[in-house]
Amino acid sequence: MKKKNCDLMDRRRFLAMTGQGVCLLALGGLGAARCSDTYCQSGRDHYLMPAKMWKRLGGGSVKCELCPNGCVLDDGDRGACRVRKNLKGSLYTLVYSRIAAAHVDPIEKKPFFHFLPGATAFSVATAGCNLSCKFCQNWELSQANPEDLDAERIGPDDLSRRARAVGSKVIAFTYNEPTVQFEYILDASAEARRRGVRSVIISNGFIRPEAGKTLARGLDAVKIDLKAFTEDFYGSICGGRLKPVLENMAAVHSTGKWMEIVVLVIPTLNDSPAEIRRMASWVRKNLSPDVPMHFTRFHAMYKIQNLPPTPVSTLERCRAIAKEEGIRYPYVGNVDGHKWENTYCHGCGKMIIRRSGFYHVENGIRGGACPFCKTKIPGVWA
Amino acid sequence: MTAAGRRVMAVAFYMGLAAAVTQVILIRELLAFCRGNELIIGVILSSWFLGIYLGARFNPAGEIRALERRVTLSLVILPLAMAVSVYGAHAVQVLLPRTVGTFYSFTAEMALALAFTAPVSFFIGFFFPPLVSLASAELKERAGGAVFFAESLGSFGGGMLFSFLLVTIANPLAIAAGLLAVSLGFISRLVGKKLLPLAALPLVLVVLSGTIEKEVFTAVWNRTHTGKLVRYQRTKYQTVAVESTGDTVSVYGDGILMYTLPDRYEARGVFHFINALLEGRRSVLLMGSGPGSLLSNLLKTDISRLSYFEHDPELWDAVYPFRKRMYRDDAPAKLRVVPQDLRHYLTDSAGRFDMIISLPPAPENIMLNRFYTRDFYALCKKRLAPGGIFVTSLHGFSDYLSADRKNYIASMYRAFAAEFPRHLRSSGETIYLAGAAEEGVLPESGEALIKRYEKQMPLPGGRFEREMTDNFSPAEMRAYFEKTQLDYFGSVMAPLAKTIDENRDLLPGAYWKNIVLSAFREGSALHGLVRGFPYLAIIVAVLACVALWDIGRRHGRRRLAAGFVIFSTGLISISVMLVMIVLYQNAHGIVYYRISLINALFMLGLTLGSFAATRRDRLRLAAVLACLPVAAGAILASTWAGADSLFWVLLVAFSFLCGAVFPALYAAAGAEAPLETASVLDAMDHLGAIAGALLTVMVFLPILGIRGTVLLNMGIAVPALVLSFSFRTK
Repeated sequence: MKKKNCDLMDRRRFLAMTGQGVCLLALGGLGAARCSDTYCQSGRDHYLMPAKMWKRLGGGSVKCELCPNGCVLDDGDRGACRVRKNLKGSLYTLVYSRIAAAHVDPIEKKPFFHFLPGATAFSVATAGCNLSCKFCQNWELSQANPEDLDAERIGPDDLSRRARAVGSKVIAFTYNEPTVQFEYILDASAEARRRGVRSVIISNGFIRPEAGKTLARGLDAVKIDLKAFTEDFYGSICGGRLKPVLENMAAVHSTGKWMEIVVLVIPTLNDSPAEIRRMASWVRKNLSPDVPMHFTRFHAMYKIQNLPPTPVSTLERCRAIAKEEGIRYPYVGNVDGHKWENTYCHGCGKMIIRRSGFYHVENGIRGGACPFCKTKIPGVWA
Repeated sequence: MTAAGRRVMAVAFYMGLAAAVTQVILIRELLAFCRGNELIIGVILSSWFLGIYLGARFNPAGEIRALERRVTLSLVILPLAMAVSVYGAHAVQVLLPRTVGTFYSFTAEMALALAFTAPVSFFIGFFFPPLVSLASAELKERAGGAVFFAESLGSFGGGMLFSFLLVTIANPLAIAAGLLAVSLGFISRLVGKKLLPLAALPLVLVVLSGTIEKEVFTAVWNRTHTGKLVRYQRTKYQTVAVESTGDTVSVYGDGILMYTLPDRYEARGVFHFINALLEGRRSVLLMGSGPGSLLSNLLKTDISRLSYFEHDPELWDAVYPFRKRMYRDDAPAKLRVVPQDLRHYLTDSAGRFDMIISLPPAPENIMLNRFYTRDFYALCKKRLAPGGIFVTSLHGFSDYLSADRKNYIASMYRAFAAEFPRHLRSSGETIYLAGAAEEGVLPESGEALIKRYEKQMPLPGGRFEREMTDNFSPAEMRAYFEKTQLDYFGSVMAPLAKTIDENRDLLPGAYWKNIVLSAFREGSALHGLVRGFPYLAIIVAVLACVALWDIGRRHGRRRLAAGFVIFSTGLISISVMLVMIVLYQNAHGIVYYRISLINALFMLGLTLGSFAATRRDRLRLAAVLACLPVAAGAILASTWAGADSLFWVLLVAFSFLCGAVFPALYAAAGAEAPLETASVLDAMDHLGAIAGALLTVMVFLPILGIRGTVLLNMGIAVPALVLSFSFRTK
């Protein structure tokens, strides 16, 4: 009798179940709406390309081995970068040739100060990033899913053609994190080299050393944003880790490619003299004193909207510390017209490149050497 | 009236006064860490009314003693809760730390606004029904109206007191302590015991409040900001904080970074952009840059008279000593600091100017939005002398425009381009715009401007250059006219010119789109809600239906109808009051210290309305409700007529009608059960106010604009009017 009663549905239970059903239907509808993006219909998307640097796990899961996040993805999942997806047990990139931003920038804007001064770079970006820095300048690209952005298809061969058409002899993979465009950059940089166009990346360096070296071999220069020199900063502000970045920097530098380092100095968060000193010391010991370091000025950005710009005196102090630690070319950045944006020969101390903003560059270097004392200046000058 | 009756009325008056003062202080304190926009004002108001609703709703019948205890409890708790909330708002920044320079998410801000407001206002609602019940012994069916009248009169007094006295002389702790002392005085009379010695303690607090406040403020600031607080001052417009970091000084208004000094390098670009356009233009108005390098550099040019606009004179006084430390030159005679709102000045002035430079912060609130509207651009155009140029800025983009940012920028850019079809536009994270009323005044392109500037520099690298900034060359200006960026912006804006409404005073789209963009940037859970804001109306409607059903179930049909009528009135009254605040801001700028005045006069109207309805039976409910849309219509008409002088009259007239509804309805809906009726009416009145506050800032204003919102309110009044015929008054 009791069991029978349980099987009967009273009005309250009926209403409850009906309500739950409606909710489930609504959620299902929402889910279906979400899955209506092109990636739920495998194979239809012309930006879809099999990814590199991953391995299969059991049960249709995969592990991405491109960056230190090491995302383990079940079927249909995306990585933390938003642009690598497990589709039926295989990993795909969603941003191959999917260019959301393309501009012609002075190379100094990247900034590269020892790489073809005065050149312009055809600068391109897709969506996604493997970090989530609260101060990201390009958060609208880096923190977005690719399908949420307007984009055009520029294939690897088209890219160098487009660069040449706008008079750029350099392609820069920039704005969002190039690591997430791994497959595209490998192909596009190889194609560019065939056409005599150089390729550079502006990266956070948060990539596994093997992948970083693979990428760097096809490039001509690498700029790394070293966000800070503490694990705490990387963890709480960027959602990443410092150690893998340092490992990758050493690995990439060992390939012999030109490297410059940018440190965005944010008041309170990463501007302590001790931290800057440890950082500069690490660069000198593990990379080279010839690697230029740019200490750039922070401006309110993305989630850090209510912080004043870095005092110029702080940047000058960072530069002085780096110089004391033996870095030959420490710069102050994002301060147009500051004297430490100029290049001074490490041999004789005279000014050899005068800069005022990105567009005013007077390059005195001749044959890769100082015109005054003939000291060879590290960099790529022609 | 007996002595007991007078005591009851005095308590109602005092609680109204304390409530008005508490409300405006909480608005100011919460705005200081909640980005200070109208969305948050709406949330604070709705949280405030929610507390009152709950206080009124959970107020069961009881014996006289129990009712008196509730009144006593409210008297003591209100000032204490205010102080706890004010300092809790400071403490929360330490207890819930956030990355320096970031804000809490909108969702968190709303939750905090609720947490710090509702518990205080709960006691405003909690004292009301018992007081009515106590008064009914003597005043019978007029008790509800009489207590409401006394409370409203107190609110009026509180608003006036704050607007004209307390705002300039007292800090929140002093005010809370003062209120507590008065409360103890009342309780002493109510319970017949000598508690007055206890009042000495709060009076000591009043004396020490300045020191305590400064210590608390400084300690919290230094723990939560990047630099050291070197000066802080509550002006009648805002809380000014000056912070020192390294060799820079940063100035904050209500917790929002306004500018940093010295800004030698920051000001280079805009200075050279302006200087290249100056070409002998002599009379210049400048607003929004702060008194840093741009001002200093402009003073070194051939400008004959530079008028710098700073609405808050105390801000200038607070910052100028630091400016003087950094810019050694004394202010020359050609500098005139005008302590006035630029818009107001341009509206009143008959003068014409060679150049007007407006560089305000982003339109994070309506007060700032009014410097990005077509109305403002038209005003500036009208005030330009022949050959004059207007320069302003938009907050641009780095390399890509997301959908939300496109809409945001397009609403302002379209408004500007509509007034200045011939304009010059820079690229970058800040887009500078120069517009002229006539053809041929502006160069055709950035390149032409650069060439023009080269000609103006007779000694490249020479005297001129050294004096202005170090190491500048006109070629540097190319960074402001990056071709691919300009082309990209043009291609993105072109299709939006047809689909996005231009930003206007009465349809402040940019302000709203800024909120949507901010929520998007934060990844806030609120983003979905603010983007899909029409759904909020449905949610509110469902909640209102549930509350009405609850009334119908517990109190019968008559009070259900009364609840609906008072709910509608509460919604309309707050909605129109918010519209009035926005209208006032559009006309006069910074509104903070006037919110209490607007509130006070609104309360005056409520007082007079409730007084009239209590005293005169002939002031029938249906007639009052019929007049409500008429008064709203008059406000609507004033937006076309630009009848600024009628603002206060219309405000009082409208609130008079709102005030008359409560007593008329109380008498009609069942004065025979005073506690029950007062509880229902007070609760639903405030529930309506919650709905009005939320819907107005999140749905009505963004979608319908100011005129549409008033029209909608007129429509909402109609069902209430129809329903009012079902009541039979004595």
